Amino acid sequence: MSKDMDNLRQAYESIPVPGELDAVLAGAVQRGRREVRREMVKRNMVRSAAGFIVLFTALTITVNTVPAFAEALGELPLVGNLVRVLRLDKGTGSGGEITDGTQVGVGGIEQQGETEVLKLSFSEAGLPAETANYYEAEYREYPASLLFSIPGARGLALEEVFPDLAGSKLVKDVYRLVTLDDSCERFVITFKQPVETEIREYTDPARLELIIKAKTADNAAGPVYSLRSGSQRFGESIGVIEGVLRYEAGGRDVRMLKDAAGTYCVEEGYYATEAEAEARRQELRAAGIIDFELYIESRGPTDSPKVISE
Amino acid sequence: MDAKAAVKKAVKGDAAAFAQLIETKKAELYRIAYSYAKNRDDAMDIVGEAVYKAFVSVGSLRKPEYFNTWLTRILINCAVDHLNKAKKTVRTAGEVGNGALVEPGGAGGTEHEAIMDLYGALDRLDTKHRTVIILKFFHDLTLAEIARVLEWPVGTVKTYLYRALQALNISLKEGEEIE
Repeated sequence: MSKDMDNLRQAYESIPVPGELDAVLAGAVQRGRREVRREMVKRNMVRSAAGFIVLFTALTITVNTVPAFAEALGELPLVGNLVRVLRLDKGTGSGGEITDGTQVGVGGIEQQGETEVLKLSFSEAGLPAETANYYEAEYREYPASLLFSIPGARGLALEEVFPDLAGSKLVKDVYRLVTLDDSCERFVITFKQPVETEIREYTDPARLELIIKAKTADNAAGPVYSLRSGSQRFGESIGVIEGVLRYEAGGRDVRMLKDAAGTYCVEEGYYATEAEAEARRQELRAAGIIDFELYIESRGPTDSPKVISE
Repeated sequence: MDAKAAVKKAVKGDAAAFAQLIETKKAELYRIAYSYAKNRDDAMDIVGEAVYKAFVSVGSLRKPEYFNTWLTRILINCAVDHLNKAKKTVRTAGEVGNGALVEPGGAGGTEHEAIMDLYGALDRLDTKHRTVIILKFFHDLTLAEIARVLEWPVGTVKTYLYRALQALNISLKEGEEIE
């Protein structure tokens, strides 16, 4: 090679390589890794969607051609965006996503053989919501009831909520509770007998399906002794009583109930014996927390609270 | 780990193996990029972009033995893209001579003059002729390898090489041939 080219090569090889290049290279590899990961996620999503389409198509064909399969499918929540199943035999559960400004609606009761289904829907600004508002559900007995608390809900479509219950074998009543919190809605479903309940939560559009099945009655179950307030109309004062018993007296089982005449009372708790209920009443009186009367009421498993006028 | 094994691992998504390969090639990559960009920052950007693109697509490399030519092709494409973009921008203060920028902390004295001579020579060539000269005489690639990098026929590479040497007014020594 000529001397001129040798000189040019020497000049080329004398180009200094900056130390910062290492950081640039590391950054480029990192950027590449992120891109590769993003592409993999995208590919997997496409694969999942394709798989879902194949499955859905197969399912549709099968349901429409095999009657036995269609019947069996009716018992299973396979179709739709089922995202959660809660069983609430005795206890609490929660689901949905925390949001604000949701309207809650409750549809009618559907009979499905021995099972009844109550549907709850959610909407935002008049349009169906994609995901269910955060909710808490609590099943209690004496009487069997399910309390729904929906923080973030700003409205309960009352006219839709309380459907005609005349045909229901299991649901006795659905009613709204006084809630001294503008950003929360609560309502109670009471049952004619102890039940097994399950909540199925769907998205897009958001809805809850409350599946209700009769539970074998425990004939040996005796009465309990409820420590409760007198009857009050629906309004702020019953909400205040609930707040005092729950937050100031520290009652863990405090609940608001509608009585036999459609007025409301607050139960501090129920006890196995009258003596226990009495002891608790004396304790609360001695603490000087309550400035209202508490009554002890004997109640069977399916009884509503009695009217106690003051 | 030898280079071939590292390439095979990199193709399967091993980032550490890929980084190891780049480490051994970084000076070469930088100097090629610098020959086009003529300033440090742009040269580093070109190398960074090329390494990013190579990492994202290394999984599709069918023949591991062509890793070097494949990587060089990506780098040259990035450099050419950079030059095309740079043509659209207005050159700013700090430029001297044949378009080279004065580099803070760069080569100094005689070295700097030599590099300026290099720029002067390379600036007489368009991008294609310049690329052929860099790959042939500065990186010792064979005509076949250059043809693979540029995806040209070997005859075309040879033609560009002779024309580039003519433009540089450099003749081969007696008895010397371009293989």
